[in-house]
Amino acid sequence: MNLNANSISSLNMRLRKRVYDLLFNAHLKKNFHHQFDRFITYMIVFNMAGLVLEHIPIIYESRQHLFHLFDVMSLGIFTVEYALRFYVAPEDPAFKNAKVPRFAFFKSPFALIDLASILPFYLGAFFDADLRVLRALRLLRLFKLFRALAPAVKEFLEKNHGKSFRYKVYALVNETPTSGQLHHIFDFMIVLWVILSVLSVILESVHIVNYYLHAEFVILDIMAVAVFSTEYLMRIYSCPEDPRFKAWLTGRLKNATQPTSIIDLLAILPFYLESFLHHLFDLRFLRVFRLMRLLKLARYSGATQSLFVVIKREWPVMKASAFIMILLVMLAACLGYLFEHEAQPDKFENIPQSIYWAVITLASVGYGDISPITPAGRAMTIVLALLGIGIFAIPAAILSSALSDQLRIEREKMMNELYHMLEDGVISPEEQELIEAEAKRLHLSNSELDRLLEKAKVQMGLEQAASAKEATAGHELDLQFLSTHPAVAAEQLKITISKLQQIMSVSSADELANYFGDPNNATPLQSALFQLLLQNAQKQKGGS
Amino acid sequence: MKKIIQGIFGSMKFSDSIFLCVLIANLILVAYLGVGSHDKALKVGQSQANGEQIIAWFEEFGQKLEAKELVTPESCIPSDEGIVSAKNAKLNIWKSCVDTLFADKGPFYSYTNLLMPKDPAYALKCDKQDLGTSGAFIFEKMTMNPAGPPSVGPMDPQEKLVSGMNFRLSLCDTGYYLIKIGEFKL
Repeated sequence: MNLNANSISSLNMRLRKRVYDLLFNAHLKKNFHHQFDRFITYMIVFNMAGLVLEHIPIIYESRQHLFHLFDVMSLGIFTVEYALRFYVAPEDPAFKNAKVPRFAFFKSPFALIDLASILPFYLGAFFDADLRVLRALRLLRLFKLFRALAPAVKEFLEKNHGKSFRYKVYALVNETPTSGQLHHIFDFMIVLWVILSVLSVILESVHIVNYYLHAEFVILDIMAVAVFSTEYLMRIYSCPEDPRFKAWLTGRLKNATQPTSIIDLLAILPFYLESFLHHLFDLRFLRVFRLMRLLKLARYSGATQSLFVVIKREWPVMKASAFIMILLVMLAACLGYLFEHEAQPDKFENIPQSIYWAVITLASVGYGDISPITPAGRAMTIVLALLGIGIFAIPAAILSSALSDQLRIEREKMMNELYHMLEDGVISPEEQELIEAEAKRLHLSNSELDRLLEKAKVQMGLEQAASAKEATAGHELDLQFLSTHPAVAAEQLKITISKLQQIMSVSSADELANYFGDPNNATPLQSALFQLLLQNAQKQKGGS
Repeated sequence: MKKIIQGIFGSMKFSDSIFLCVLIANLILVAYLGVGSHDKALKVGQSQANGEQIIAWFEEFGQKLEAKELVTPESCIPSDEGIVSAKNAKLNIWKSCVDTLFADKGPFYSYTNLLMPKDPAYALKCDKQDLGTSGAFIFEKMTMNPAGPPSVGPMDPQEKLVSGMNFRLSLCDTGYYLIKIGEFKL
């Protein structure tokens, strides 16, 4: 019976440890901690979205049951989360050393927030509670986000301890070695707002949606402008921390003229212009420019950055190709006008109209609204259509080959960084993080990254072996290399001792003894070593 | 918490304080402009709701006419097509009907122009040259086209009211664009 209780207790402890390691242990790499955290965060965000949508009658009234179902599901998920955290509290280093770990967890601030976000609904089942109060209490779930935010803020402050306020702002909005997780959360929030605001611009154009949700779209836009304008000011203010924009005024002006900054400005400008100048001009068209906010995402995409680099690099070739294209369009338009004007004066009325026809034909679009009817015009169109396939494909081909070339260059650059990191024979956790971030930017899968790492290791091994061989051949030891490679150093020492033994065996022991006997010829260490080697040689001779 | 605030704001210089002031001023400005826009959006929403009430009233009016019940105001009662073609027939016109509806004690008396309270609640067309039309109801005459979508044009104040006439009610919004509310038939 006792044995049975012991085995149950041991099973329970193993299970607890397993659950903790699987879902809550942030120090383990290959568990589901991040996925679980992310899932809970998304659930909180969806809950907040649900709370907002419930206040829009047109959405809520016909879907009350769906909202209720989602609420019950969320409550279930948050309850399971709380129960699991409570269960594994003795495994958590934060509560492990407490007298009663679970009680320590229970009274911790985050656990109280978690409890406050679920408990009212259970109490509501037993007591007569105002449903509106219960609904309002769901706002408490928002505080659960602090669980994700608090460690990030703590890490950020630790990493930036002693740094200026401006640097902290810079580290928050830009990726720096001290940015940490908080910067990623900041980026995530901006991306979320970009997606939300672009979606709202698109939906605003749907009459029936805008008819019922106009005020909500206005609120969303105001919030988006508040977020984006704050981000813009933060970027402009903190840019002198970047060596490229060091000067306080000219640096900021230079930063403001960067393409990404211009995009940021265009994302907020329509709101201000429309608010201030709407009574002077009809600025409704500016609202469409809010779609430019989508371009803000380019900042967060490594592939887009590479594309910008490629376009910049290939600009002269692109210009040449564009020149040929324009030349062909002009030539085709003039010939089209020449052949077709008399036959179809309404369609080929002038050369600009013919240019439209030439572009549509060359680009293989062929709307068919304007088409040649004369034999000469048709013959020319045949040639034009065939040429168009090739000519219009040139820029695409240039861009695609240049992009793959750029990707190869960036991968080579990454390989060089890998070699550099592998110089000391090991990859530190910081280096590993950098490699993973770079791999993510270059869209490398885990297997591809492993393959590159393996390749770099093999390459490094070959280079070291070659250099060691060279060093041995030239009887030179690279001391700097040996200082960082203890295993190679030990091997070298063994080889040297063997060589000393060989020298002893082929030399006259008496002459050597005379030489080392004179204190002017050798240091005490050298004499002592010689005596050791002599004794060893004599032992071997005696043995044989 | 105190530690966090100290960690963030502890190393602030004068220029940092100015930056924070600019940041807060911008947020206040956005909030101020936003409140104005939101207020207008709510008024547009309220006007739309009023417009829906107007359509509901006209639908009820039409149903009563079909059921040959007594209806008021008399100035809105349409004439049959046969009577319209007869000479010297006294017919109701749109202007007198709409004026009666929005006049004191009329059914739409409470539906004012919420965006421009001093201007009329209804207008002939949404015109950005005439600022007072923003927020006004626009009644348009619809001519049914069996081959395609109906053609819509401004309702002439002198237009004679005829049974079976189709109307479209829209609202002139803040940017002087029409927001379609609905359609009804007399």
